[in-house]
Amino acid sequence: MLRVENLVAAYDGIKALRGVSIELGPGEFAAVIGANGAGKSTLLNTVSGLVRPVSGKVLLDGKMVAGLPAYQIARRGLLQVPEGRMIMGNLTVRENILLGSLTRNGRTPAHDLDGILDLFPRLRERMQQVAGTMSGGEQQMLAIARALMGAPKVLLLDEPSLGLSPLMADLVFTALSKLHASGLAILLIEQNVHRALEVAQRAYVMEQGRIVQEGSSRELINDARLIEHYLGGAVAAA
Amino acid sequence: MWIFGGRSAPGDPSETCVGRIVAWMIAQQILNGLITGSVYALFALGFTLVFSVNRVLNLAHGAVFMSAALLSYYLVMIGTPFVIAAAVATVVAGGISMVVEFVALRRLRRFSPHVMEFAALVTTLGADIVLVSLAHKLTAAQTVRFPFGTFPNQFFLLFGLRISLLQIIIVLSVACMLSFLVFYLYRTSAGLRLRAVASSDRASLLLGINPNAVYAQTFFISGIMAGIAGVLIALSFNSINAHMGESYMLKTFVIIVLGGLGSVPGCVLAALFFGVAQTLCVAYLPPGSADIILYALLFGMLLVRPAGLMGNAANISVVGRNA
Ligand SMILES: Nc1ncnc2c1ncn2[C@@H]1O[C@H](COP(=O)(O)OP(=O)(O)OP(=O)(O)O)[C@@H](O)[C@H]1O
Ligand SMILES: [Mg+2]
Repeated sequence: MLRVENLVAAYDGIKALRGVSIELGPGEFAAVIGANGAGKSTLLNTVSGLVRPVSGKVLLDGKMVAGLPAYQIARRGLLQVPEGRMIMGNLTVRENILLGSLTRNGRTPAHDLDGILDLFPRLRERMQQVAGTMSGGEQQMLAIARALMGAPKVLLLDEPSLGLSPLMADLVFTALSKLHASGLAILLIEQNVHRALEVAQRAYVMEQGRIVQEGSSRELINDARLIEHYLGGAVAAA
Repeated sequence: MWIFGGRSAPGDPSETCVGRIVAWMIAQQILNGLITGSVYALFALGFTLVFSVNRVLNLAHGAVFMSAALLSYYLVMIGTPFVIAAAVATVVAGGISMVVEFVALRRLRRFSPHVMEFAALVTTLGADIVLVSLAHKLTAAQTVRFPFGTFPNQFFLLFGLRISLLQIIIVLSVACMLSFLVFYLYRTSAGLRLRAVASSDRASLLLGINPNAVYAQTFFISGIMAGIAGVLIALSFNSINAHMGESYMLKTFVIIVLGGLGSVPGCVLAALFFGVAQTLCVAYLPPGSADIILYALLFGMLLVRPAGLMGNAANISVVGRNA
């Protein structure tokens, strides 16, 4: 479905990705974890076309998309829910969702509006609300709903739990599990290692622009060294 | 006190009569002011539209306005019927505006927003100078006028007030353009895309929207609006010269500050108000005092409500029901 080969990206000549390879099969749910500044967002943004790769390949359904402008990559069904949500704060919830459906480009969505609102019932009551006035958690749901309206082939998510209360984060992760169960291919970036390993089947560990480890979530969650490394003080305190 | 005719003692017909005439004159001035203001609104809305979506003060807007006026003049001079000349000039103005975007802004967008915003002032001013100098050469620095009879000089009575055919055309074209703009922005998917880019160009990219196409579109619509305003103003005053856009740019700054940057309804209200205030000042106050009063007003507004009449609450990216 999605194949990233030896992707290299740089900001002003400073490399942020040093040859990253990732593979995501149809209907698969994988996570990328790693510390702050490891290059996780850079990876997603390069795959999405917001950052131009220096070298390497990004293949969607076997077709090369690396180097295309971001809007064309989105139209092909590689949809990113960006870090910080980036909903259109001035538009209503309904308008944001409608905007998502403009990305379809002829694909039939696996979830229609009703299905998406069943997934996020909170949005249903708020269709006329100005999106910027919603809580962070509701905005995150909206950002995911908006991407789903575009009939994604692959859904990329950049730290959807960032700044959310545990309860809200639960709602979001539950929704992601349901989406996975319905057959959507998902690539999730998370700092919250425990949660990520709970919902994803496989995970990649990223460090300084490289993938340093990969394996099934079950393997990784039992890897004490890894958990200690990435959760650091948090585990020690727990 | 004789402005209020009704107040004078009954049985003093002469005073009542004078009062009526003065009230009628003021009403006539207000009508004229509203019509002038509606053209200001058209011009200022084009400027605001570009600002809302591009975050750029397009200093070449006045030159686009002037280009349309001048082009319609040349087309009429070579024998084109006025209506066709006006239509062609308007569309070409939209085209010129797109070229301004392409040449002066497209390449700047790769820089960070604050660098781009400042550089854009310089490049759009450059575009303005190029267009104005070109017109200056073409007209040999002269003011040109449409030949007599280009537009029928007909008058009608409306509730006892005089209104010319041209004024009716002005009101109709402004109303059409305004309805089109509101419909386009709030009822079409192209308008939704436009407001999405106004809200966040980065998020728009991730939603499959090509911001460059939207930028070009806003400049085209904005140029059309400047073009229509240019032709209407050229006809109203029957006077066209290379620098005619400049005073309208100044008025636009006052209007958008009064109305609130980026607000459609604020811009229209402020423009109408400006038109009326200006007409009344010119009619009843010593020459030259109009500008003093209008700019004092602007200053006062900035002190009291820096965001303008309808700042923030209603800018273009905001939902339709606020429009
Ligand atoms: N726009 C940019 N310009 C220059 N350098 C950048 C830019 N964005 C990211 N970087 C640098 O690239 C590196 C990777 O950043 P990135 O945002 O991809 O990390 P991340 O893994 O997503 O971190 P976080 O978990 O904090 O979101 C960092 O060193 C960062 O400083
Ligand atoms: Mg990040």
